[in-house]
Amino acid sequence: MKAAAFPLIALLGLSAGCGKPKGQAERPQAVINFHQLFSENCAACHGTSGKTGAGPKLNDPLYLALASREDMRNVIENGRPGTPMPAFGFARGGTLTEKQIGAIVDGMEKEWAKPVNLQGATLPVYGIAKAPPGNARRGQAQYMRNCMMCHGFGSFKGIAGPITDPNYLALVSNQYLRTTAIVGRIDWGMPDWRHRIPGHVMNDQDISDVVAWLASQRPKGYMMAENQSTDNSFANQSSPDSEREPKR
Amino acid sequence: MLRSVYNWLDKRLYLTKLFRSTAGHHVPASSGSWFYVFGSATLLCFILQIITGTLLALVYVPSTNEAWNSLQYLNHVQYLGWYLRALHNWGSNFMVALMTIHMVQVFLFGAYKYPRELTWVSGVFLLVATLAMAFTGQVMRFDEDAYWGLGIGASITGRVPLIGDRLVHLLLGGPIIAGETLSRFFALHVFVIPAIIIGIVGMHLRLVLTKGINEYPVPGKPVRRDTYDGEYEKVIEKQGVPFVPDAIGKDLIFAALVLVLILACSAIFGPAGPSGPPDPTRVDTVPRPDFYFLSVFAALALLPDWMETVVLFVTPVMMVGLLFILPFISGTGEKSARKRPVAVLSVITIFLVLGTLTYMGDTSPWSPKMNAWSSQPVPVDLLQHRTPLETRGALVLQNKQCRNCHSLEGHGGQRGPALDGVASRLTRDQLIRQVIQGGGNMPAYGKNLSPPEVNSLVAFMLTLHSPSRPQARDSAQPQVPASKKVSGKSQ
Ligand code: HEC
Ligand code: HEC
Ligand code: HEC
Repeated sequence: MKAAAFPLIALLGLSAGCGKPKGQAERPQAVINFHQLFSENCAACHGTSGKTGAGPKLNDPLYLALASREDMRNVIENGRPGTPMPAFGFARGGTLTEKQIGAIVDGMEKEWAKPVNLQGATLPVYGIAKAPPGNARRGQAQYMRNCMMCHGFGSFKGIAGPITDPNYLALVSNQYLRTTAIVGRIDWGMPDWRHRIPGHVMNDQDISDVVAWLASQRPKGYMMAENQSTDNSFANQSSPDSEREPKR
Repeated sequence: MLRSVYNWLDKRLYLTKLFRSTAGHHVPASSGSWFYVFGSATLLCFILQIITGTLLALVYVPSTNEAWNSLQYLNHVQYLGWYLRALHNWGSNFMVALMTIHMVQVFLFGAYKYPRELTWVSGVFLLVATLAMAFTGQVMRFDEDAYWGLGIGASITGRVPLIGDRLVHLLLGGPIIAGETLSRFFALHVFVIPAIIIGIVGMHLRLVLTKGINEYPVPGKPVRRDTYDGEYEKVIEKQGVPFVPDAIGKDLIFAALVLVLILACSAIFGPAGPSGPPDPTRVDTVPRPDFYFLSVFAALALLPDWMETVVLFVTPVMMVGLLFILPFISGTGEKSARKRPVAVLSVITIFLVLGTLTYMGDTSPWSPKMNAWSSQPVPVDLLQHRTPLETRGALVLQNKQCRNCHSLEGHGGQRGPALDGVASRLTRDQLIRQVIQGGGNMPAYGKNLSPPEVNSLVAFMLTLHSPSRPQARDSAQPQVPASKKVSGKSQ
């Protein structure tokens, strides 16, 4: 009998071992608290409270006035292929449910959005698909006028570092170039579209042009993938010579 | 009529003789004990593995693009495909566990002693081969866990002095994990190692038959080379029973129990993985090796750097070596565990150590911090006065989950060295090399980072140096790298 106990105990041990499932007990999909969701998923790139991060400033009334909920939802769900912004939607291999993404967008609107005083200017269009098509040649002139004093050109180095660096352009989407051209990076010292030159406000066309020029400076083969993606805010507006070669 | 057919066959195939010398051979009645059932149960698992493995191979596609999809197909489309995968997975878990118990039993019963040294040695070969099967099998899933295990395995191999690089090349079929790697592991898992196992199992069984099954040890009756053979013959003569049908009863009952448990575990817990799709640059689930390797990984994580190499290479070689020479250093003497306190103590110690390490590997945060990449902000002061390219580099660092292993200002994973001040330690070229080729326990990112991603990462890392310690430079190239110039204002 004693001898028989040994294999039985061993078996019990075995079956106890097989009862240990992988992963934790808590269900991360159940979290719908905005602050928790944001600090676990977004704070690393967008900053602790949505600002002074390496990535776009989201805690910005101007940005929230510019981009619609649908725009933001779309980006969070699908990411921006080719840029460091990952897709969070389940369908795209992410970890957040539709409800959670909704909670984040609602949270941003509720906590960070404020009515903005446009001081008479009109807010340009957000989505690149809806904006007027840009002209790269005119864009260069716009760049010289509105951006060069900070971002430099040729051998002149501005205080903010070049945005025409091919490595940078290869990792940034046209949409974000447009977003930044409009709302700036107030947290890092770049003013919005109304405040760069005293008395001069860039219009929709100027912004499209400058983005078109920047896009034309991008090395070939980059940022093509998302131009073909279902996300139509990327509908191509970049230089005509762009090869449609998907980036791996 | 039947009888004459049988006789005809028997004359040609020697069936009766075969039966008498194998299944019908006489074993000591005392070995018909519950302790003696683990060997046959391990064999049962192996046979089950061959059957389920063959069936899996019908659907599995050993290519990097298709492997994961074919497992998804098995899991979700193929009728009962998930169950087949579960059986193969649980069969392997049970096989490793039963084999271990079998070995401990053989050790404690002194069954490895004269004249059964070779039985033991072939058993040690089987242990190594089975662990190799378990490891290569884990790679077959080709999901995040597999990629992880493989990456670490490769970087361990890479540390072998002198020939490390070539070994890695041999193991992975190239300097980094790619399609060739999977083909290679598939061949190992499906052809090479099983063939070796089948061969050794044959020899193992033959030795069990020719050298007999160890009688139940009696304290105070040591083995002596000159008298043992005669004594054993007497035991067989006096109280020998045919293995079939007398002694096999308990084996059958236990085998049935094991089978039921495997079937049940598979049904209840299902197959393992595949976890996330094999995007090699994303390590954001909790990649963990299968349980039999957890202890190794825990040891790896807990040891101080300088000890790792020693412990990694010396310990396993010593352990296996010790197992091999065991019957030659203690080939005679007492068999009963009651008279061998050292043997019992060493078994207990080994299991305590392995158990503790496994527990630590499973629970403690030795492994990378898996959500650092999305939850630990890049410290604000590291972003001040940076060029857009450097800022993007910080984002790539987050996105490629370097933060899961590397901390900035104390936040992030602790697996790799903190990246604060890397630029004071490494030059631009060294940084590029580290990112592309990995090294130590760092995965090689290789082609999984595009050139702009590498350039931006390096541009950002080059800003990480303390003001008091200048940036490391290549002495052959006294010029400050171009990307540094633009951020010179940061000081
Ligand atoms: C690994 C870094 C990273 C993480 C984590 C991250 N983002 Fe982003 N995000 C970026 C980058 C980089 C961009 C700009 C991409 C581009 O160039 O278009 C971006 C862009 C965005 C935009 C669009 C900005 C625009 O151009 O209009 C939104 C909205 C956004 N992120 C929301 C989120 C939310 C919400 C989360 C958390 C669920 C999150 N991000 C997590 C890096 C990240
Ligand atoms: C008053 C100076 C100033 C002007 C004018 C200016 N910028 Fe900037 N810009 C900055 C600063 C400061 C930053 C943030 C620091 C950094 O990333 O180097 C920045 C950053 C950027 C970035 C990178 C943002 C990111 O998160 O990656 C882009 C893109 C950009 N600017 C585009 C433009 C464009 C287009 C114009 C002209 C329409 C322009 N800027 C005009 C100062 C300026
Ligand atoms: C799996 C964990 C892990 C990940 C993920 C990882 N590393 Fe590492 N990294 C390490 C380890 C471990 C070392 C130490 C290597 C050694 O011992 O030589 C290291 C070393 C380094 C070093 C050299 C540091 C020094 O002080 O010598 C750099 C630079 C580096 N990693 C950059 C990166 C970058 C960039 C990424 C993301 C693309 C990354 N690492 C991702 C684990 C990791």
